[in-house]
Amino acid sequence: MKKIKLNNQKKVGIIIIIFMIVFVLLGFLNPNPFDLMNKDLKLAGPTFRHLFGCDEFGRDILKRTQTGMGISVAISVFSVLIGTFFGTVIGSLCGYFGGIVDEVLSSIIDVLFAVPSLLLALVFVSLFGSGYLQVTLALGIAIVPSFAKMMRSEFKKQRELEYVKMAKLLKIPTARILFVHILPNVTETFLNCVFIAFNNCILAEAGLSFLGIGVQPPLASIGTLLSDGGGYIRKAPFMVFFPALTLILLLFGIGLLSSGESFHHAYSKRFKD
Amino acid sequence: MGKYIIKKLIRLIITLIITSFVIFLIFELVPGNPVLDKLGTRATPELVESLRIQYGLDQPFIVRYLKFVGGIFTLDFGKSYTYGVSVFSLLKEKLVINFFLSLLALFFVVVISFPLGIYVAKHTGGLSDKIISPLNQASMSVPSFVLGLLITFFFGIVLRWFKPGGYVSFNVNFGKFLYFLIFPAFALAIPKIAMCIRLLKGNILEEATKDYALTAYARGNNTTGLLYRHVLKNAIMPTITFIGMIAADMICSGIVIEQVFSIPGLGQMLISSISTRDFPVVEAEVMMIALFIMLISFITDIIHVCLDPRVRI
Repeated sequence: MKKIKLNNQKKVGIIIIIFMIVFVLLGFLNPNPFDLMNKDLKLAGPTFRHLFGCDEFGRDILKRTQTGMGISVAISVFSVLIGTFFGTVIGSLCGYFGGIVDEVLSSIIDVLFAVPSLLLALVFVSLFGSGYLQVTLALGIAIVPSFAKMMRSEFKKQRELEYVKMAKLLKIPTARILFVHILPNVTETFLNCVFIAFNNCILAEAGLSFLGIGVQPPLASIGTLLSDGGGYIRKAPFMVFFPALTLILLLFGIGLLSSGESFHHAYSKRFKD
Repeated sequence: MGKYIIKKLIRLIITLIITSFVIFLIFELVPGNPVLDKLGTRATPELVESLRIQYGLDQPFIVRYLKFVGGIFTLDFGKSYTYGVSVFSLLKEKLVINFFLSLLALFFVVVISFPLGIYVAKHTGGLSDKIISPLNQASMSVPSFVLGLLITFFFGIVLRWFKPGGYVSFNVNFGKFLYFLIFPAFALAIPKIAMCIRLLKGNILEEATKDYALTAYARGNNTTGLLYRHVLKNAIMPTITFIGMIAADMICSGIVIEQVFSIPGLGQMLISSISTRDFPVVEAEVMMIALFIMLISFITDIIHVCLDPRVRI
C-alpha cells in the first residue's frame, strides 16, 4: 500500500478543516440559543455578545452559522457515504469484470455524468418533496456516476497487474480481491474522489437550500442563512459576509486537500489518452 | 470525417431517446393526481373526466410518450397545469434570457482564461505565476451564488454601477438588458475562469515535456514559437472539452444565480413549477436542459474532429 504524501498544500488544508470542525463544535459552548427571537436586537450589528451580529428576527448569527454549518456538513457526509458506497461497488464491478454489463452500465453512467448534480437533485426534490432527508438522498445519488466512472478506470488498470493475476491463481474469492487487494492500491484516487464529492455536496446543498428547497426552517443550513441574508444585504451586509466567509473557508480547505484535481480535470486527461 | 460525424449523430439520437424516456417515466411514476390536485374540493366525476381529456391523460402511456418526443421537435409540450397556457409560450422568453446569460459568461471565460493561462504557463515560477496560482485556488472555492451576493454588494450597493434587482427585459431595452447581465455572468464565470487557467497551464506544461516539443526546440524554435506553433494545438484540446462541460454546468449554476439577481429566467420558472407541482413545465424544462447538454457535447466532438485529425481514425 502506497503511503499518501502530505505536501504543504495538504497540510494547510487539514489545518483549515480542523479549524472549521472546532468552529462548529464551539457552537455547543455558545450560550445564545439557536432560534431565540428578540425584537430589540433586530438586524443589530456585531457586538461582543453577538460576534456575527443578529438577523432580521434578532437571532444570533454566530450560533446559526455554527449550527447551519454542522447541518450542511452532516448532510454532505451522509450523501458522500451513500454515493461512495454505490459508486465504488458499481465502478469496481464494471472495471474488474468488463463485458456487456460494463458496456451498458458505463454508457448509462456517461449520460448521467453529463447531467449536473444540481439538476439531478432538483428533479429528485420535485418528485419527493423538499427536506433534509430528500436532499441527502438526492445528492448521494447524484455523486454515484462520477464516482463510478473514476473507480471503473482505476480498477480496469489494476486488473492487468501481476498481483491481481496472482491472487486469481490462488483462488482468492473475488470480493476479497476487489476490496482487500485492489482497493488499498487505489487509495489516492479514492480519497481524491471523496474530497471532490464532499466539496460538490457542500456546494449543491448550499445551492438547494439557497433556493429554498433544501433544509426547511426552523432548521438552518449555510444556504438558508445566505438566502436570508441576501434579502437584507443593503441594511445588514454582515448577515451575508460571515456565513459566506465560513463557507468559502471550508471549501478552500477541502479544495487544498483534494490536490486541485477535479473530476473535470481527470476526465479531460482520460479523454486525451 | 463524415463517417465520424454520422457515428456521433446516431449516438446523440440514441441518448436522446433514452433520456427522454427516463424523464417521461420518472414524472409518470410520481405519486399524486394532477387533476385532483387542481380541482381540490370541487372535484366531480364529470369535471375530473373533462380535465383528464383536456390534459390528454386519458390516452395510453406510449401515445403520450410519443407525443412528448414529438413535442421536442415541434416545441409543443402540452399545457401548463397552473397557468393553462401552452408550456412553450411560458418558456420562450426565459430561454432567450438564459441563452444570453450563458453566452456572456462563456465569452468571459474564453476571453480571460485563454490569454492568462498561456501567459502563466510561459512564465511558470515567475511573479505572475506566484500571484495568479493562489488567487486561482481561492476563486475556485467560492461558489458562484456567493460571488453573486458579494458582487451585488460591492458593485450594486457600494459603487452603484447597477441597481440590484433592477432587471430590464430585452423587449424594453436590449442594451440595458445586456448591461445588467454582465454582473451575473461574471459571478458565473469567475470560478470557471480559475479552473480553465489551471487546466490550460497544466496541459501546456505537460505537452512541453514531450518528445515532439524537444525536437521542435532542437530544430531552432524559441520558446514562443514552440508554444504557439506546436504545443498549444495539442494542449488546447482538453480545454475545449472542458469548456463544453462548463457550458452545460452554467445552465445549472444559472438557476441559483438568477435567484440572487432576481432575473426571471428558466431557474425561477423551474423552482416555481416544482413547488406548484406543475409537471408538464418541469418535464419540458428538464428535457430542454438535457437536450442542450447533449447538443453541446455533440458540438464539442465536432470541433475536436475539425482540430485534431487523430480523432477521425
